[in-house]
Amino acid sequence: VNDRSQIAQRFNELRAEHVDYAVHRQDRTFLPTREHCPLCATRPGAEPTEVPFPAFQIAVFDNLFPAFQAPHGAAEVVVYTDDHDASLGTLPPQRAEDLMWVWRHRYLELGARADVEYVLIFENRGVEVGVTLHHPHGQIYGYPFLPPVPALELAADTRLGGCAPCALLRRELEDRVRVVYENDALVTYVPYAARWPYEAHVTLREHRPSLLDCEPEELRMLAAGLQALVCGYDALFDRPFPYVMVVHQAPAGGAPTPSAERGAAALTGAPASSAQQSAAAPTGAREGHLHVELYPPLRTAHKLKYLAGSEQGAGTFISDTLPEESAAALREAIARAA
Amino acid sequence: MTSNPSGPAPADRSPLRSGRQGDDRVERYGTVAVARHAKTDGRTLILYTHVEAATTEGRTAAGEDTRAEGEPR
Repeated sequence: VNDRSQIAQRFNELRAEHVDYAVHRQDRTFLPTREHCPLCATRPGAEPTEVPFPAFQIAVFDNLFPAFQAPHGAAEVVVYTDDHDASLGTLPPQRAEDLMWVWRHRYLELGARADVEYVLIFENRGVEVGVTLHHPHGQIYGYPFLPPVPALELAADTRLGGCAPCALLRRELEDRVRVVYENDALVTYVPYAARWPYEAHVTLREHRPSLLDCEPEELRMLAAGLQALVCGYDALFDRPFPYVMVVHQAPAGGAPTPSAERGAAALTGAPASSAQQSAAAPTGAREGHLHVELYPPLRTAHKLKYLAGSEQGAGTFISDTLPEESAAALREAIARAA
Repeated sequence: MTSNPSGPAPADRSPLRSGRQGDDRVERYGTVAVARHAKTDGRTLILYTHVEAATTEGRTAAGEDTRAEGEPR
């Protein structure tokens, strides 16, 4: 264990996966009262919070209790708003769009670091998934290695002989029955083999490896699609709906881009042209496809899906619900919430 | 291909102003202004604020490309 940071990775040979030890996190702030929320703006005369300003829009800072930190990765907190009672779904649309640019900016900067191999943007919402602070926020981990799930997704590209999310999206658009929301930039569906009762994937229609490859209009529509989904979740059982939300995109790599033009375009917000992308992509290379996955633990309004014997011991999910039936209910809830 | 986000290129950042104490710089990115601060414990704090439409680096705050045809992208 690193004396300074108390963070270390060990490799679990039986599972062929890393385990991260960050023992100082045992002492992190746990469900404070509103008056002691560390993510609120600082009130005049009061002790400074994590954001020592009387108001703010979106704030990002290094996690006080990091699971990863330089020179072996990164852990950041992304506070969506200074409104303690807001949520991703209730943000003004412009703020949600701004959040997409913040995600992109963090992906750009963290991904450029030599000690970051994969940038994972995520949000845990609700005590059911282990939230310790109610204030609306997400997190970003910069892993110093490629984690198993993104690695599996890249392996799926190889197995399917091309981009797996592109292939899955085509199937969902042909079947239609699991699609719950669409706009010009994306399609949201309960996947054919969903592990969670109301799992949903928000997938860009165009093949965009990462947020850096998106048109500005696509970012706006991504924000709209995510807000529509989480508002639909809240409407489904007429209660705040817990979930884990994870942005899946291309590994960072930490090396300079092979195309200076592409990097410059990313910094100014312009997507790389097809020609630039082709030039930067070796034939047959694997790159990922930007999509957002949400894993809500509820199977009814008051019952949780637990990861028990089969899920933990065998790695096989047992589901009480059919994705097609969940999709019908979720589609109706999204329409109701609109 | 992996997405290899490059490090910031000076020409692609737009210093706007140096504001309150602790600001290193303020730059613009897409629809947001980016202001960096150093917290008292040494951690970095970045505040992102929506910017109204104003042209910078050939791109409006809404992300619309305003550069003329033939200009480098």
